[in-house]
Amino acid sequence: MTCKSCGLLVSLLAVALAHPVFAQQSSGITSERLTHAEDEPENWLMYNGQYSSQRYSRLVQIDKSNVAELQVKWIYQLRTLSDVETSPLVVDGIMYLTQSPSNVIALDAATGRPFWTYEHPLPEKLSLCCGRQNRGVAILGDKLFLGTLDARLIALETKTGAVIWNVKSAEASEGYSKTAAPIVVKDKVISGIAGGEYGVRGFLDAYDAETGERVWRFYTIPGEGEKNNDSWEGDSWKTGGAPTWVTGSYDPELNLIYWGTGNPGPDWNGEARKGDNLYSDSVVALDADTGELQWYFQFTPHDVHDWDATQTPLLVDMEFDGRMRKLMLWPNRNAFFYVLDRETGEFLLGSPFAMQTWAKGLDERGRPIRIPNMFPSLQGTLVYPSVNGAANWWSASYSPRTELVYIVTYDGADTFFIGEDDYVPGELFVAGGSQRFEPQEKYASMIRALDPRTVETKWEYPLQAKTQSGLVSTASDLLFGGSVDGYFYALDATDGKELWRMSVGGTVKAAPMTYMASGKQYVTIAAGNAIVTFGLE
Amino acid sequence: MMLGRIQRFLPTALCVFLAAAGALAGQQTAVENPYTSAKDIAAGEQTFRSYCTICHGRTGEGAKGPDLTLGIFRNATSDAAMFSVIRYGIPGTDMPRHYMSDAGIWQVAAYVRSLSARGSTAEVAGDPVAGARIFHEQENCSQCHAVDGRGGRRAPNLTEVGWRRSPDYLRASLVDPNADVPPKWWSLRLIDSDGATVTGWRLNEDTYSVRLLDANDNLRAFEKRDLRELERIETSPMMSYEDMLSEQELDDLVAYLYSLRSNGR
Repeated sequence: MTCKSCGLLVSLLAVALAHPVFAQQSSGITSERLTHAEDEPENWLMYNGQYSSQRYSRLVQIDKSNVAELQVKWIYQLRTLSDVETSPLVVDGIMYLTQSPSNVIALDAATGRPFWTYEHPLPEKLSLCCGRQNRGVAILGDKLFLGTLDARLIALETKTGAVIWNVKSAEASEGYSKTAAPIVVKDKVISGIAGGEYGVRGFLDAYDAETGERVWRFYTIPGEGEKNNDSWEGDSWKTGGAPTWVTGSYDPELNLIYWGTGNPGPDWNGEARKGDNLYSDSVVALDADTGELQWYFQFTPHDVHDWDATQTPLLVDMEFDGRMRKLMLWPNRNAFFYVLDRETGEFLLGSPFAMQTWAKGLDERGRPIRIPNMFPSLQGTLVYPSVNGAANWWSASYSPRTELVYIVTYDGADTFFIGEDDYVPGELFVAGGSQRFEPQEKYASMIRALDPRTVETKWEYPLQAKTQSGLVSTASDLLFGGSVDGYFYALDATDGKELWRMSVGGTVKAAPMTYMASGKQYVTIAAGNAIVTFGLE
Repeated sequence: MMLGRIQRFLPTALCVFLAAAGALAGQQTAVENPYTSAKDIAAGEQTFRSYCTICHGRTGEGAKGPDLTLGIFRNATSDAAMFSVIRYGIPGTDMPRHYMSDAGIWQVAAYVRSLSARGSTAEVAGDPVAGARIFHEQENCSQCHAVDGRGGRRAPNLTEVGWRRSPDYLRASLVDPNADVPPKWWSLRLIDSDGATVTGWRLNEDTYSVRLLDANDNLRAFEKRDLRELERIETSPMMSYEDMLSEQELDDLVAYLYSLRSNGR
């Protein structure tokens, strides 16, 4: 080989590396692989594992016979003192996770040793109701996608963490921020927005994964002249909230994206926003190519208790009422469990799954039948569930083997007060508040295993009150989860029997995930300020 | 969203708080509350009702938390300091941080300042000197409670209790000690795997285990699954003084306890 040919080879290589097609092939995460993510359980390719968001893994190396032998394989200490809500991805032996406030780390999934860190600079003033969290990234080709607290969406190169593109979704100074992991659908990055306590107008965006150009935006509050804008009194729709701060789901066959929406604003005073306040506290089904609304279902019309419907839509195909149906299962923050037909949005079943005192039940269309005098008041109104909800953003799990839904629930109450707030861009816009008059010890959290056909609780597993852990189930009938008092545990998914647990020394506020590296199965959880990974000998 | 907005404490905010507190402390004479109109005070009252009444009472008269009508704000001697106290809380006390807008905090501060109309101390009927004699000699309360570094450590330290509790709350605590017993002061009674009964001060409890200080001053830890019985005692070990003391003695004792604030640090 001559020096001349060396130069030619280098030039060709440089051109090839710069070419987007080559770059995408080098990583190999395609839309096709994402669609069939459950077929490669050695990887964890998106926030909730697969488009159905079941958080169910087919891995079976860790099973009931050996789970008691789990041991810590590695720990990665995060450089943050903020709460950790991240759920990592694992792609072909590399783990990608986020760290507060809006940073990304790539680790060797077998050892926990870092490859690179991306640190996103943030402005000094941010409008954040609930901390400096980030829950994860999405992946396609050679790019990771990150939402940031200053309401930007960023594409990073998977190999180096280098910024490929960086676009602004909204004005952070007006109260917009991003905390949720995006998902990739075909060639688009779907990314929500937070800010429901700041009088934002919520939306869900789709961006071209290659360029960062916005392809469509669906406003979760209809604009003037649009259908259902009249569900808001006067101009209240302009500051009505309904953010999209938890990752949604996708059905490739129907080509529908499902996303939950948050509370209407101001949170606790509905006087100035009379009406149902669509599409707050709803699930919206959107055409993945155009963002057009196909159907919606509102769980809590005219919410005044901050009961965001930002739970993860669980997509399940199962026999229901004598025939196979495409279902959506939804344990809602308002304490009711819903079963919807996800092709049409038809309400099929709904019943409480936790303590509630605000509704007599649901009517035939799934609309709550409210109990009078349960709205916030000047003197305070005691209501179950609390502002934290019976469920919330932490992910549930569904096992197709047991046909049970697993969810960390909270049977708690708060006293809700009404107030007044003037809208000021970037300032809190909540108009009231809540107080808990009893010690936390008086209330309880637990995992409930629900039969989605009846909403019957099959078993319960008690946890310290206000546990906010997500869950993952496996094909070996294990269920992994954490607790607010710093434990990580494995249960028998069939009956809730505890099989193993360990003190992890810090609050678990994230969802576990499982993967394989070098032929071994691991389970990972964020606890305290650390990423802890367990495996067998 | 608003997830646990009131209760949540963000450690990173501590650094911000310390920095901000330092900055604000340096400006204590310079920073004045910009939200003091009648409208602001009314808005502050509404916010106060939503977040503050559980400790400070419906109109700031105090209860579990300090009486705010006295005009004495030990941790908030300036507008800037009061802003910091509301936003970031007071470490080591029940005062939590609050997620409110800057304007909202200033309005609450303005409302709290407006409450200071009743003078420098609440009206208490008793004689604090007589109350001190009851506390230290007659009833030997210091066997359990410490004051100024002297006394027991198995019950709340009362050195500065007058800053934290209202006279009504103090009296209610003497008459009905079980009316409000924070979890920090709960007890445990258990039977271990050997059949031995253990009682003690519940220092910590989680889903699976308990840790306590037993009657012999030993730190003990137990797994719940190993226990034959476990009972959480949410009442106070202190007896009621309703029938033990006369009305005058109760007034004197309350007056003494309420006086435990003059040399607060």
